[in-house]
Amino acid sequence: MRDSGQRPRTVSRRTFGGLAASAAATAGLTACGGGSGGGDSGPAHLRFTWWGSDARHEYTQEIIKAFNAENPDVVVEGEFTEWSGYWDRLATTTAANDSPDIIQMDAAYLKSYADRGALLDLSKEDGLDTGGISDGDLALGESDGGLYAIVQGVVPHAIVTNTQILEAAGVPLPDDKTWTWEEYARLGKAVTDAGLPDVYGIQTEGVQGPPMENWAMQMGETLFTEDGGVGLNPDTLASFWEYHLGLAASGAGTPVTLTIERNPTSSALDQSGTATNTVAFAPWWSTQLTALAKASGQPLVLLRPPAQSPGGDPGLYYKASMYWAVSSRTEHPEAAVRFINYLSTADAVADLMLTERGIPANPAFRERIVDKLSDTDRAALEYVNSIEDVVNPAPPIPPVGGSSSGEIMTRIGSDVLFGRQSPDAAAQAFVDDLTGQIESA
Amino acid sequence: MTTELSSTRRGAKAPAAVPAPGGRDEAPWPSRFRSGLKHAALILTAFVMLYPVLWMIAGSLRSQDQIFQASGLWVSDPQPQNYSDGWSALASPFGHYMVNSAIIAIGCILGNLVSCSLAAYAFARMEFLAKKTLFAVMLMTIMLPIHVVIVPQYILYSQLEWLNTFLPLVVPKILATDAFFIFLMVQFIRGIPRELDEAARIDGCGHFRIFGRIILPLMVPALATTAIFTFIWTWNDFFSQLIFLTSPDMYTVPVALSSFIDATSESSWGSLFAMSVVSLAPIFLAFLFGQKFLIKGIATTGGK
Amino acid sequence: MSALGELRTLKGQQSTDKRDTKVAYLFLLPWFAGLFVITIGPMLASLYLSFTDYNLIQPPEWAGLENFQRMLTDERLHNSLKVTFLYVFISVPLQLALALALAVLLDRGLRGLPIYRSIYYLPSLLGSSVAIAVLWRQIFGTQGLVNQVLALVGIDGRGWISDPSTALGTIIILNVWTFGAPMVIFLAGLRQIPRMYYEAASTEGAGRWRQFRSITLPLLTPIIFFNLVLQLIHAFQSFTQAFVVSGGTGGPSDSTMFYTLYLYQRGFQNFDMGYASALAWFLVIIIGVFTAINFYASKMWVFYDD
Repeated sequence: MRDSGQRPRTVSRRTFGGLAASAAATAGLTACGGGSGGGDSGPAHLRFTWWGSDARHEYTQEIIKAFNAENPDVVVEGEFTEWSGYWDRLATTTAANDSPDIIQMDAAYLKSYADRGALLDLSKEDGLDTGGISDGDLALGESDGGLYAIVQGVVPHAIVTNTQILEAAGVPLPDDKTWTWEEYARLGKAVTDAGLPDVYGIQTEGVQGPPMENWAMQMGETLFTEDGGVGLNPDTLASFWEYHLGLAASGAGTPVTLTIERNPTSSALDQSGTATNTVAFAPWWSTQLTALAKASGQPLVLLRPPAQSPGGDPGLYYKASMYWAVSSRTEHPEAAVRFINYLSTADAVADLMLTERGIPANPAFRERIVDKLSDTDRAALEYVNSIEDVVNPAPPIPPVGGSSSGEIMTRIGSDVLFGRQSPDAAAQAFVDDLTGQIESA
Repeated sequence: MTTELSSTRRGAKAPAAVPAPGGRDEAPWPSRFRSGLKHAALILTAFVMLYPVLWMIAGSLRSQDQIFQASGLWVSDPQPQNYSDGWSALASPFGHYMVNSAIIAIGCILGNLVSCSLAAYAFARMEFLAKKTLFAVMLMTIMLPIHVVIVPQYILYSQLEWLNTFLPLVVPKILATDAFFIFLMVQFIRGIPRELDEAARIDGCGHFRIFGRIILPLMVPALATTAIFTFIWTWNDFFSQLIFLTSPDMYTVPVALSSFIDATSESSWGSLFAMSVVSLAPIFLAFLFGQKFLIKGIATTGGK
Repeated sequence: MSALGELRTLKGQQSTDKRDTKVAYLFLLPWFAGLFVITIGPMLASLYLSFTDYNLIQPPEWAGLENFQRMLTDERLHNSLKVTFLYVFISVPLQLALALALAVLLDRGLRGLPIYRSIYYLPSLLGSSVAIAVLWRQIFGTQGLVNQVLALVGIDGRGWISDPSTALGTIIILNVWTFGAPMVIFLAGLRQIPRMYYEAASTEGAGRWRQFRSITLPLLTPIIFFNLVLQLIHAFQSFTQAFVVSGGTGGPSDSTMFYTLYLYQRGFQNFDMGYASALAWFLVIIIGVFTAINFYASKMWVFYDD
């Protein structure tokens, strides 16, 4: 742990004007001497890092402030950035043995870090208190018998539906407890045929992972197996692609170019069909409803994904939206665990975070915030509660090397949509490629 | 600009059949027509060049739901609060990050100007041991992509206790690691007639005086180019600033801008565009008014 | 160019022409310090890592030539080489030609030149910002500006960014659009050409085109050469534009998977830094060869006053 550059923040951040800024910066420039030692007697310094955008940065810093006020022997300092820079920085600092103490973690990378020894096994630490988070949810953070991350929020799949477009197209809102993919396609076609300018019924898929995993779950399959292999049957993947190729071909769904352009891995949420009111139906994570509604300005509702047959399994499960993990190199594991307890259980956290990091895994949080939520956030919470009877156990998280599944899906999926590979051949290529990545990692 | 004027005037008075380039005074009709045509073409090109920038400015005045739904450049319902929101959205006012960026940029400019011009003079005007090898080594250092040296660099700076300060961003420039600029200056120095240094040498000047008294004043355009490029590259450099500056207090403009948006959550596009415009303004103005150094060439000194 | 060019004169008299060594090394002192303190260490470290299996988190393990052998059969790598070469050999000449043409046009003789220059330079300031990513979609998307304009004249556009056959083209356009950087260097170079040459030529009745051919072009060759070398190295390393436009995926279907983007993905997304380092050093060899060819060929067309 280095201490240089960690100056106590005595200046209020709102009044931190230009002059003070330049003075502080100059101090930074010249502070090349030995680190100003924190010493053993001083407070424990913890670096806490997360990804997000400005709304999240703002309230997370409030959380830190509240924690620091209650824990005078610990000083937590925040480091934040956006998603892709976050992982570059985390990889670099971890490689240099200088990773932050408390790390916001995603399921895709959890095993990549945990299985290589970068994270602390929290089950071996004293004093961990995660409140009422269920064992099932806690298991989302387990790897090889250890507990490496505490889930903060969960989030299920949903079809975000624009009711204003449906109305304008004269299409009734379907019953999402009984609808099927067949009906989905039919309704989509009716919307497109209504001829609203630039509007299509359905956002065609095929290049991003989550809708495909939802489809696989409906077939009783998961992308990965418990023992870290690929669990997906190529036929399942091929049928998923064939269905969506059918949507694009019939006009029920967007043309394939729009599918690739709007792939969330390369495009902003605000440029999506749902956000720009140019599709009626599109698959999303349910908590994205608020962001989508803000960009859209039109009424949006959450529906369960269609099933393979009437009344069949909609393939829903709770995905961990986010975790907290502790670096295995931290010098203050006790303080770090205390901070994680705080994030998991403190009322102040519930009040500030609401559902911004997913529907809280802690049921006490859910009860506490329900009256404080905006309409769309409450709708997302109610959706989660409403599906409890049909939800499946969560699929195994990606093994080491499996974090590239999304990238492989995007690449091979584009080939399929542009007719460069048949769905069958591409599905086999996907499974082979992913298996190779896992084996070589 | 005065130098330019005087040189064109001189050209205009030359007894030549060729119309002087853009002679403004008493230009005959065809020449005026041609210059009008030129302007029309330049303005049209300028619009194409500018369209994305204008779109960004329009976006900075739109509400979140209008940014990607409205087409064209017309803003029907301007939202100037994007600017105030964006300014105060992050941990510190946005000006704080601009000051950070400015400090780094100024440090880098000074560093590059001094160290690169010294090295360039040596390569361009002196004969020394292993010159060819050293020049090749210098070029090789800029051929390796940053992504594979960033981890070793991080470890190096961590051992020097430089992380989270501006040192990892500024010190390399003071030590002439931007070989592009050395090469640029070498090319410019070689364009300066050698007779000038020979004359000085005969007068008993050493290398340091030739460098300071003759070469430096004559390579002002190269120095200006270096300054402009260094400024813009550091102002826009995201990756190394992201990696080496971890505390939000030390964030720079590009890192701060990226904090407005996130692929996985709600983004503030209005604030992003507003602050992009704000951060662009100083560079644009600096370039607009700094050009006179760029075009202050050997031409005005009479040459040989 | 200087050092290689000097070699001709050095031949046969190497011992005598080191007269300036002591004072020259003094001039080079900051550069030496930077080389040995900052540059060399990480470079050698990455060279070592290229012979190892290194996942960033656990210590590297010696792997010999394994990474380099893997490159022979890595089809995605071969594709990325193809993409990169296409990009380099199309976008560099285009960008340089445009930059030179506009530099000459904007050099002198028109009212409002500083404003034009600044406007043309503006895209280079923006070149790689986050805003460009969304903007490029607004312009070249299926429902974007280009297709709206094409629709006016009855042409059915396509998804320029999402179609694997045109996606690279949009990035080339993005790069050409930022021609301001080489333009500025050309502008500075033009100012080094003594006015009296033009005056003399005018007196002899030489036209504008002849003046350009016989004065501007030859005297600008050192700067053209510099821009060529610089842009070539830059283009081979091109990363940000493809990263920004494709959201880091190099898609669709790897059609914008530049070499350094692939290297980055291997290193940071697949935790395969050993292989990424090997890729990086192979790139150094490629760029080195092309730069050497450039320097060698420059003897035939670059004109130095000294």
